[in-house]
Amino acid sequence: MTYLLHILILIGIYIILTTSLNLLAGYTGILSIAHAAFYGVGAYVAALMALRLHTPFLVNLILAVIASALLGVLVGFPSLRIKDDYFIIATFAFQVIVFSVLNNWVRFTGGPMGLPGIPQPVIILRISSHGPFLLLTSALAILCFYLCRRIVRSPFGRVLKAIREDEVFTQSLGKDVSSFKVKIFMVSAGMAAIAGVLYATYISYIDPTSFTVMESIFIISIVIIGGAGNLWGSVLGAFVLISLPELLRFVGLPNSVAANIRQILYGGLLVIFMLWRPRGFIGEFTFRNPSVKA
Amino acid sequence: MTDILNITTLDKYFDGIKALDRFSCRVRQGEILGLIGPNGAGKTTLFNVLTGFLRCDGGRAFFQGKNVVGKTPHRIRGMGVSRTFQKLRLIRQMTVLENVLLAFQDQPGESLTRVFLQSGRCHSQDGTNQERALAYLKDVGLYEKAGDLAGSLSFGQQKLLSLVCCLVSDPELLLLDEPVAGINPSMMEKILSIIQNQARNGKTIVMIEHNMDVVSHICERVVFMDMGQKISEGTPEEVKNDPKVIEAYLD
Repeated sequence: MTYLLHILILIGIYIILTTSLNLLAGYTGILSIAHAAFYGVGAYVAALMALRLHTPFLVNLILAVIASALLGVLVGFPSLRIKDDYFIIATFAFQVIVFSVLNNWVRFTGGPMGLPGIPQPVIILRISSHGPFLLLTSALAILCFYLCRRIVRSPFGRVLKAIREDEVFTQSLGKDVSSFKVKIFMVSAGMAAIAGVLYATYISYIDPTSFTVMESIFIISIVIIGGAGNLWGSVLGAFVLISLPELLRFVGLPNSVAANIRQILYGGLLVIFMLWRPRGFIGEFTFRNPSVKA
Repeated sequence: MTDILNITTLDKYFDGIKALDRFSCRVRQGEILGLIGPNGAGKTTLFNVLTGFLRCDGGRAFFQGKNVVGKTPHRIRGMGVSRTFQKLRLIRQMTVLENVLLAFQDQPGESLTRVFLQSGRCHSQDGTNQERALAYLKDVGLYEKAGDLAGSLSFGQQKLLSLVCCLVSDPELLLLDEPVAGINPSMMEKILSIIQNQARNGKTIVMIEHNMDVVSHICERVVFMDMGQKISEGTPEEVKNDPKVIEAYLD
């Protein structure tokens, strides 16, 4: 039972990560592989605040979101000048920088040893067991999903989709494309931080290896396989890709083998989807831009 | 008649090639001005500079007394200068109605804070816009297609739709880049009558057009440009018979 709750909590955390990245990648067409960096920033800000300043959970949560959102603005600005593939490399660079800082600034972040003993969240009562934590995770995941949905269904979301399809036309209709991009970058990064805070307080220990570029690629894989440009796709993708490798355990594979098979499974799935179903399970957008062909 | 647009000595170079060479021109309020000239004369470049898509290397352009050169495309559109593109541009993966909705200016629902804090206002404004958008579509005979994807329309209908998007929110100046190129005669007639209607309502139109019959039919005045310069200006008849124009075409 605890095991099942554990999986559901992880799925909840990943739903936050994937829906928020979907806003950026699926709806606006800005492919970023820095999402794990924002996830990590959220986790570290909350963990450090809780450990060093002993501030309450909700304060940590809010500050982590603000810190990550501000970094999002910082990374979002280059996206106005650097296009497509080059921007992916720029986000990769940011991802590497964040990882290096977490890994090397030993006095502040604990370096490779990480930060142990992160206190459990207290919202009126201490949330110490899996059941209540699942409730907290679900509540925040539903909140994030709801916010994303509000955004994509609004005229703001309409402009995001237009930017994805034809930036020049969107500009000609009087839209400040730059401002839309930076804003959605900010929102996406801020939401990733929520997932980070949940992860840090749930596992109670964080180290930089949870927030590497591999993690970023894993998150973007879920978005693509679930379906870019469709929020339910991200939810479905998170469910399938988090629970699938767990099923491997029941096949009876030893842990050391299962871990490696996991990587092969994700990689293989991504290749298969790119080849035969680029829009994922229920996506509305493929990253092959038809206008490029013309 | 007053000038709505006053272009003075615009320069634009592409790696040493002069796309605009001290180009100057005035556009009068409420007229339909034809912009003609051979391929590569700099007509589209002029539009791109005027609408902020290209930076120019010198000169100014005053729209209603305010310089637009150097401003960003969205600000220029906000000032009331709207354009269409030679290579048809639309969001083909969105419905016809959504394309028109995109074109409205100053939508409260395009501000993130308002989406969350004044959702009622965003909603009602979007509803009003929807009615207005449908009215536009009804006027041009695309009402039945409102829910279809823009990409599913015929080429002529797509051109018509891109013109509608350009007209939304009543811009004062329309820069139309070959609005009737490559479409059938009945659709051409429809688009031309919309353009004439706009002029009757006091809007100003500058259109790039290669078809001299079309130009003679709807333009009161014509500017002929070549090698980035204004070669000739006047009524269609005058320009057609200008020896400098004939010479430019023979080159």
